[in-house]
Amino acid sequence: MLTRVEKSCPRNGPICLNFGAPRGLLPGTNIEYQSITMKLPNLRSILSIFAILALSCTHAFGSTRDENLKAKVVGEEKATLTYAPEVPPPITRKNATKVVIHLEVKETEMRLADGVKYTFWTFGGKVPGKFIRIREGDLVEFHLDNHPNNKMPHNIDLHAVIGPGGGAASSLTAPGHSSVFSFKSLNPGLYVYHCATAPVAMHVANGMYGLILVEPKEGLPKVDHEYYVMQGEFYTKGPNGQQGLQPFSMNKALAEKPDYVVFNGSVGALNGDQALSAKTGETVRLFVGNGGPNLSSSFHVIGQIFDNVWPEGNSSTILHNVQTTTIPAGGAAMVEFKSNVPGTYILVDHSLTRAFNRGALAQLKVTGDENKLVYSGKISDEVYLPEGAGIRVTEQIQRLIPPAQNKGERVKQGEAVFKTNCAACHQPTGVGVPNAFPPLAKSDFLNRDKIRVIKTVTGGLQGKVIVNGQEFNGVMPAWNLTDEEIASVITYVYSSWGNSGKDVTAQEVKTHRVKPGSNSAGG
Amino acid sequence: MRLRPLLLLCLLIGRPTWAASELVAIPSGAYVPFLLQSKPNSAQDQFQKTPVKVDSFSIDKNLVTNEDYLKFVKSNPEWKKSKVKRVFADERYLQNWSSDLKLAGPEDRKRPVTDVSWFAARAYCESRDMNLPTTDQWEFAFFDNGRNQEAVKEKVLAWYGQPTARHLSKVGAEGKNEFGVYDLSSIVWEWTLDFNSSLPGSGLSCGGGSVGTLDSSDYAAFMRYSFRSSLKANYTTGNLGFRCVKEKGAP
Repeated sequence: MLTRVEKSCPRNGPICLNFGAPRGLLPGTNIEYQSITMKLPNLRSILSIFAILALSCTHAFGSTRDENLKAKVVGEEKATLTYAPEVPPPITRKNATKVVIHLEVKETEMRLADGVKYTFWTFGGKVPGKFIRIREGDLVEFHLDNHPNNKMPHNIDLHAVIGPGGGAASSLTAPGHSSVFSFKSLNPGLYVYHCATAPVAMHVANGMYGLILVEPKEGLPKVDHEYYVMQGEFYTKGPNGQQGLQPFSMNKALAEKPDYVVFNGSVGALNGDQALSAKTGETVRLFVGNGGPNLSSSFHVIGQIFDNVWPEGNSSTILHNVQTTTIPAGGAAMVEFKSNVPGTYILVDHSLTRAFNRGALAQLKVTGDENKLVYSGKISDEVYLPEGAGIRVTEQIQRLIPPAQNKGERVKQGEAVFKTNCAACHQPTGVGVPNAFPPLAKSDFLNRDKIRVIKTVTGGLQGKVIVNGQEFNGVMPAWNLTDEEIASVITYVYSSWGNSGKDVTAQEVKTHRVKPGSNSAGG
Repeated sequence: MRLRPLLLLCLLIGRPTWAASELVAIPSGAYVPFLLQSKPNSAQDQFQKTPVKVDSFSIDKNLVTNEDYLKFVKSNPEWKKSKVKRVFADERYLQNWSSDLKLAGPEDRKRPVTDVSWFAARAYCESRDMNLPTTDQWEFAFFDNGRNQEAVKEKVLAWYGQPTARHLSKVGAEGKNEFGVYDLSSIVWEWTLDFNSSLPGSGLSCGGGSVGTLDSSDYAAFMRYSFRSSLKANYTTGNLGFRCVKEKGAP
């Protein structure tokens, strides 16, 4: 037992000292903390193990800068680069080598959101740029190729490079030209690279960023999945959702008011069929970067706790049991967790209007057997009557707004109700969010049956629904709104965005509303 | 109305045999260059807004077209694609021409010539007893006495928002400024005589590049200066053209 722990110890102080933490894996092992401590015979043994671990784990992953400077370079290879969310395979060689990297800059028109296009400036043709994986001590020969059709000169600043501009001072490249420079990787860690040509904020705002991993000589602890996710914001001339090719807005960039905050270059890039995936019981490592150019990310995975976070992409201090980790613009982090429970987990910037209104949502789908011990799922749903409040709670509360007298007034009042209650998820223009919140605009679900809509709003809806051919599997709560408010908001929605124009009265809502405690409309 | 005398002057100066050599007179004046000058005898990061005086000059109304440049190559065979020395023009030189003396198609005649090096552009201008504009001359013509600057910036930024056109517009397509010079933005970049006077070492290539500029929010200007900084005299690119100037008093 003891030998096994020592052997697999990643020589990292903090990890070993957190040995007794109640959950998670020792990085690089399949040994659960719990199972080890259970078998320890007595306090003295525990203390002695701690002492041995502390001794054998007192320094971080990787070598010092001086050691890497002296590391002998043997052989030569061409780097394998990957598009997000893929990550090149771990490096298995035991020596530093010469690595040749070719990265091509392309200015190209691509999808930013549904119906919205943008001229992206890219490292490798997509946003984020290709993932680069090298080993500490490697000597890198870097070729920056600027495609002849490009309009702009470009260069590259790799945060893994020590020297003027991180390479930028040596790589300013005109369209149709190629620059070469070399560097020795001296510090292990996960680093951002980006274009640094003036106006640098615009080059970055157009998508010119990516990640380079300098692996420590031991390699990183083994996990089942590694994925590449990078946040960035976009400043478009038209507001969020405005269709067509959108030019960059210099004024919005200067004001730091982006229209889009996205993972991997577009709204929904990691949703639906493109979602990240894992099976229950597997470990997942996310290499998360933030290109910015301006906003820091409060990176969070809904329904997960990070067993390990390597803050700032560093290789020496590992945090455990983290809910949300800050990833600054021009920074990166590695986060790791085990997927115990099946379901869809949403990656967000927990600065939440970015997630709900500007696109900072991605999905990780975990498949496999349920684990009811870890998470039961919903066991029951009953009426809750606080003591003393009595029946009044379930009665409709009188509102101060006079009831609408006709359809026109209902549409007007309904708009206010919609903005307050519905727009956050279904979006101000009713377009919804792909794979998360169904559209209300031109919605076949909506237009087919207004009684079902009344039941949905008053009783909530949970489970699978098909709207305009797309499947959604989420939860909408029951809304505690008056008959008038519900009649108004449904009439407003019916009168907007190409819907059927149906009118819904308060009397109809009263007749068909789902009474609290009865089964909800969707079951 | 006030432009009419200028246009008349252009017609007088222009050579009738070269349609595109119609010139526009730019009056003398002063402007503050985008890259500020360091204060003399001061710490490195102290800059001053020193106006630069620009003498009057004449400038091509239009960008030099493929047709113009073809005439030049015909009478100066050392500038043929097959003859030009690599030290004077890189491998891409005139790469869209189908051969030494043949354009890819008749519609290219009125499009600006691109994929020409600084050496080639300069030789062309010298063959007309002219020269490339200095950066000050070009920027002064572009500055247009400060007229419509916001609209021009918007236009330049919008140009970058579009992918590179498969075919460039014909000269004249983007309109003229108040001086009467056409297409100073939105078709191609333009060579200047001293294009490399702002080298990467000046700080333009880093995030700190905003220090020492007239207006750090003028992204369009940053792009022009960055582009010039990325060039060498034998480079050619698909979106870089030129026009020529004549100094006041020159023959």
